[in-house]
Amino acid sequence: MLIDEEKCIGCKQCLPYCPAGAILFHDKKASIDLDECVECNVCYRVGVCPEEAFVQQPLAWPRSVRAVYSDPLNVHKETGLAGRGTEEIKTNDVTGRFKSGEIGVAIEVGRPGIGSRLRELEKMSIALAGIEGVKFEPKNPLTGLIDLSSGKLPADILNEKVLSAIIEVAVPRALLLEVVRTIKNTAEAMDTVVSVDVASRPGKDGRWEGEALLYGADIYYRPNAKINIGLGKPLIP
Amino acid sequence: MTHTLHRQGSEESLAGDFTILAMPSSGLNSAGSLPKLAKALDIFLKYDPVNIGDSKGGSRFSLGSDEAVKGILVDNELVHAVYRTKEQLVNVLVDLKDADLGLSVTIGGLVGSLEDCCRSASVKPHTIVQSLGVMGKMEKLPDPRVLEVATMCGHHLVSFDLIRELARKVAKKKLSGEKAGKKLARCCICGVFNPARAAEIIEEIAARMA
Repeated sequence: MLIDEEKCIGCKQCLPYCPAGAILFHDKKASIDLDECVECNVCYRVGVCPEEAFVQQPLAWPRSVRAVYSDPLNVHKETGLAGRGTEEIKTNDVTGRFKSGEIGVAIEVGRPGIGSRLRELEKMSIALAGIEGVKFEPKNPLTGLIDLSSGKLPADILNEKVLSAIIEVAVPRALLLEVVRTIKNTAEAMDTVVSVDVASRPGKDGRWEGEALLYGADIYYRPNAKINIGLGKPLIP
Repeated sequence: MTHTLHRQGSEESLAGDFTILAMPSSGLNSAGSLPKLAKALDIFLKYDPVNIGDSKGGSRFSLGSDEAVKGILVDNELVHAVYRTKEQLVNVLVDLKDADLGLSVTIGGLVGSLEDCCRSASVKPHTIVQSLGVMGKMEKLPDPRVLEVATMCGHHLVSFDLIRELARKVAKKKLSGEKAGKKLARCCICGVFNPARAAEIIEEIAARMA
């Protein structure tokens, strides 16, 4: 994003809108700190500028990565979906992606609201790639960038900053606790925050499989969740 | 993943915050899904949601009206709504079940409340995703009340600075909490932000500032 200096009247109305804190104010004019801007387009889309001074510049690689993981109106070619992730549990009643005995784990790097350089995210992808049995979700828009044997990302995108990006993996039940502990330890060495979640189906005893494992290991989980209620059908009537 | 999941706050506050989304699965049952998505949105609107939206275009507040949201629906996307009470959510679930649209439906909120809603509407929970919260450099996070507001936009398009700025205006009586909530909702593009709950939290932040 850019600001047309000729149009800016220095009203400062746009300053608080930037989720990345990337709008600066000097010499009675607003400008964009391009190193911090994540290309989420909030400033442009909300229409806060009375002079329409925001300008969406063309984004070339590797800067284009910022918009892909920050502006939720980007439609990913891998999924056909807008947003940062996949259909995950939202269509599990149709896709059968998560089965009993298998747990989905998502690590959203930079969330809530802090953002992240991709080099920080790479610390997590390397840690997870080192655990045998962890499967990266092929339809996740980030997975195509990760070297699945090492967890490394392309060197030319490591300094790019995004609002958040999601690593999605599936693990056998027996690996869940090791994976959660690895995520926690790795997050402590990262210069950002991560939001973590666990997806599962009910076990034979009717309890959610993920919750039962976490509860048994005394691992904290929040009281709110989201639930697919099983109304989906493979063919719409 | 999980744009409606990681909402923060006390159980008392989260008890007034329910999300719902309906969608086809891309490439499996997405072809021709547009009329089903429109029907789902009509059912959402019947029960007085505090916000609605779709994933590829915008929300009641970013586009300016419910009709504008309905006008931009396309095949293969998500439609969302947000409610304040269990009763509203149960009514929506009953209607969606009766409509038999074949779309996948996911609800968000406190687990116990969601399971109650499923029982009341005679629908069976299929898959769950649960939040383990936030890990890492926690010292980078803002005041927890600010975070409660910000996390209602799962894509984090609602900035911490804007929440603080509007709370200051509410504290100075230059803006109502309700208007502050709606201003914030304009930033959330897909319509999962709860402006009514945001207004309550902002009024609490403002009272602390005053």
